[in-house]
Amino acid sequence: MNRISRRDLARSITDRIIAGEAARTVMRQAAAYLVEHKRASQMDALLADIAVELQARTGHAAADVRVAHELTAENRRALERLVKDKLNAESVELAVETDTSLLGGTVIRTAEYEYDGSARNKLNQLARGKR
Amino acid sequence: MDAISVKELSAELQAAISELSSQQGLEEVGVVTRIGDGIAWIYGLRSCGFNEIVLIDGPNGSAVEAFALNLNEDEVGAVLLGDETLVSAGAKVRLKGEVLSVPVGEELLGRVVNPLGQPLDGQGPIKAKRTGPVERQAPGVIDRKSVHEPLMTGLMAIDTMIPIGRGQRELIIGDRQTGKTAIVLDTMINQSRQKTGVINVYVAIGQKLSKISRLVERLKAEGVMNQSIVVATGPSDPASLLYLAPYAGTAMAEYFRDNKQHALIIYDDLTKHAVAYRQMSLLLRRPPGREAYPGDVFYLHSRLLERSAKLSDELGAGSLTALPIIETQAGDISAYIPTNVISITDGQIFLETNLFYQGVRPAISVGLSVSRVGGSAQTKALKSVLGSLRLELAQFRELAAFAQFGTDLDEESKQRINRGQRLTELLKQPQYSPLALWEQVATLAAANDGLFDTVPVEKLKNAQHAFLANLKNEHKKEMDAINKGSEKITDEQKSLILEVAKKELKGFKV
Repeated sequence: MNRISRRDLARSITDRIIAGEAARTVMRQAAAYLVEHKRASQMDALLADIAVELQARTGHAAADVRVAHELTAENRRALERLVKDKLNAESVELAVETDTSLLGGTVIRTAEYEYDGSARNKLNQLARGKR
Repeated sequence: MDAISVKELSAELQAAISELSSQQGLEEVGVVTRIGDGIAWIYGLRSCGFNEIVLIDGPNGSAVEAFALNLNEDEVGAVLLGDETLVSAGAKVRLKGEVLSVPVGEELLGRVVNPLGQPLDGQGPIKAKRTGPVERQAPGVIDRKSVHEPLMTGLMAIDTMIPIGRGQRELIIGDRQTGKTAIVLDTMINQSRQKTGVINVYVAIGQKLSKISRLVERLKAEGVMNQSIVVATGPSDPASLLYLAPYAGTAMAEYFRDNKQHALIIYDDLTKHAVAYRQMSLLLRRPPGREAYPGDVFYLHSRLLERSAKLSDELGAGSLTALPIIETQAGDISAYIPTNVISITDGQIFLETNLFYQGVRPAISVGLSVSRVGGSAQTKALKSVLGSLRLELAQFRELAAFAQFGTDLDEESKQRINRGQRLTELLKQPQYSPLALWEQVATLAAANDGLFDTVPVEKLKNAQHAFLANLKNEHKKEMDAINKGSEKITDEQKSLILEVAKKELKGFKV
């Protein structure tokens, strides 16, 4: 039997969720499939693939945002607008987390893309350039 | 941190957000899922291209470069170019947005570099202004011209019987320790001695570092290094660097080809290159074929050697000549890689272990060696005195084998053996002493006229030296004229050579 690629699996799961099947049921079946075929290590990659598929089909994007300091409501809205713009998404869901190790700035991460505007990254780039 | 006001933070964040408006800030990222044996498997990077460079984040802000060779539906297989120990599973991977390229230009002359163009000779950074892609399309049909100019090796056995033209690909094939590198080294030295202006690029693929070091020292001692580039990889380098070395060397040589100059590239050797590629392919889980080489091992070498060409006049008439080397096992030229490269190249010089140990050096097998396009590039001067050298030597080999049975031979056969022994002796050449065109022409003219026939074999080399020394000292002007090689030798020139030969060889007769 041919091995189903992870992307095909993600497409099939997305199809079923969009068609209205209960997400919990679909994901339990997916988990069972991964465990049975010894592909449990691909769980994270599969979730990322599903996120990409969902965004492409529904226009809904999810992004993890890390900031060095707490966001004000105004900044959060500005950030949402920009992420929507950049990802061509109709709606966006931000999971914001504070991370002081960034020193300053922000890091936005989606399934496929990343914007690293943190002070830490800039310092690292400077250090790499010096090397 | 507590002292920073909310206003300042807000301004900082606004600035960071405004940076987002430039597309540069948004990067496609992947994650290393597995790492081992110099190969990183990466999740993500859907827009990654073949041969594209990726940057894998290492500890403390460092980054390790790799190039993508396997683009699968679910993952990307990338071959590491840096330290594997700095890469761990889960590391972030970014696209560099460019294919692998190396510095090119005249700044590289006289330097020893690795396949990434980084200096290995301790002479400081290379200040090249340009870079060239490591993988590049070979010139097309319209961009080329037939091979018609000679590339003199300075080795009489090659220049007379297996001539090489500029833009040709001539394979040098033989077992270990048969003098393959010696031939290419002499060829490089000859470019300097004859002031041909040809740029040498020597690509060492997995060669012992001590051997490369000796070679560089010799090139320096002979004054060849200032028109040479050495791309060096040793046996301890990762397979990825061995794989890249010939392509990187070709990119450096192409610069000269494309700028109306002539370049010579030596791949020492493509057997090790194929082995490195096999290792990478097996680790990338590509299906193994014959001798466990991947299916595209022919394309590996054909796309490399096609880049050596003679360019058309419209493109500046530059050329890139390739001398790939292949090491055989027990003289087996019908193995997989040797047959592949034989079929790609425009001829081969086959070196035999037996001849080497009989003292015939260069140990060229006349019967198995051939140059398919070099004939039209041979100098007129040499052609005019060549006679039937190849045929005479072939007949001699056959007769000599027959005479071993102790059979009585007729006078004509004895004469052929006599001539053959002397021609074989004259074609022997010690290392690092390539002959100029006029020296080859004069020797052949005298030999074809039978003037060496009465000189005992053991005195032949001394006789040849004395004869050539006389011509050089007494008739330099005439010899310089022959050295131009553009015209056949005139009757006057020939009679001068024969006259000097008669006079000089008299003292060496039995």
